[in-house]
Amino acid sequence: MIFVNTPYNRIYEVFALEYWLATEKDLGDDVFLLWSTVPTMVCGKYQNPYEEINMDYVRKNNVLISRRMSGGGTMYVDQGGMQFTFITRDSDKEISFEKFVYPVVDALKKLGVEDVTFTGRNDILVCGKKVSGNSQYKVKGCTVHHGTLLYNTDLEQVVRSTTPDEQKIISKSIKSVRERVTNISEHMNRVMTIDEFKEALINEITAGGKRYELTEEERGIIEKMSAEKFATKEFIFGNTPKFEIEKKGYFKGGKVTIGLTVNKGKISATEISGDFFGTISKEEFSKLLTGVTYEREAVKSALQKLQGNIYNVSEEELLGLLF
Amino acid sequence: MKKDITMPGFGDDKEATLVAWNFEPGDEFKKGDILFEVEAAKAVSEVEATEDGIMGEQFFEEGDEVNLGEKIAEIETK
Repeated sequence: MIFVNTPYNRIYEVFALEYWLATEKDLGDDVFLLWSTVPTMVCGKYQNPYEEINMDYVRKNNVLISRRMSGGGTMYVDQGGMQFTFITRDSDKEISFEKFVYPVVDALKKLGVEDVTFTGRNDILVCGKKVSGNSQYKVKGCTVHHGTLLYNTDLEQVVRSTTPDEQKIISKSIKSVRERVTNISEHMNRVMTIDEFKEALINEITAGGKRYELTEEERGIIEKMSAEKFATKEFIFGNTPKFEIEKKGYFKGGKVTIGLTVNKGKISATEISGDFFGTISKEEFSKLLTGVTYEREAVKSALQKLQGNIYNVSEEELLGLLF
Repeated sequence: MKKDITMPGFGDDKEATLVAWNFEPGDEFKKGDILFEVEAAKAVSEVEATEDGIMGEQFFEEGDEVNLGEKIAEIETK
């Protein structure tokens, strides 16, 4: 098992590194990565970020949005936690989580974490509460296995970034998350910083094996891949399954109802109705938005072409209605 | 020659979600192209074409849950 050092704190470059190791760079052995990133929402490959993420909250709090290649649900990650990745070359089409999760469970036990169990499905529990979720993808004869490890993650952020903005719901959700989820650092029989913990975990998993540092040239390849794929709005929002939304708002100029159909991240049909006065037809409104990526900045730019054609309803108000 | 494509099995689950079709009916594909993607138990797997061909009728849409072994499409091989 080779440990590859991850010199990035943005998830897009880490995803590119994993993909590059799975599809282009064979180091001749199984690979282990252990990494942390700045606050980021991570969607499963075919999840709808608009259903899973509080977009307004993450935008205001500079939480990045990303999409991973593996399945499963949306999660919040930050530098209080860490993610691990195993990359193995095998022709086995069967999905197996055990062979990747049990070494982590064993390592956690050796590092003095209390009462560690694997649910047998996707999660690692400590004292009955979740500290790790796991997912996988298979590409070109490789299995890429992802797992999270909550060490000292801000659990309140976990809730706020995924829950609608009503204080009552948030308070309830924080309580509920604290009952189901915990940080590993609260269950150690000794005090360790996250960096000490990471180093000890790497040693346990790789049995003190080889470590690999990326060259400047390799970093260039990975960063290019990140910029062209994993960090693009097309990748993050374009894999969203088809969905429909309808939003209604009351403004100085009257009631406005907008319906959108979004297919693979792009607006494919629109509806607008209400008791407002305007000089724009439904067809013209549709022409403005059809084909536009359903993402705040892209829609903002398209709406600017309205140029006040809906009396006493600003483009900014329409944007606020949609996001 | 017309052939059936069935939902493959990847683990213990008896069904999986067809998450993406990468070819529309009538599209030509080559051996090794990713025909479709499947998600089961938080794992996404790509399914490659084992020979050149043309995509025929598809019996399920993206997002559908499909039982393992069920026919999901027909292809015409060369």
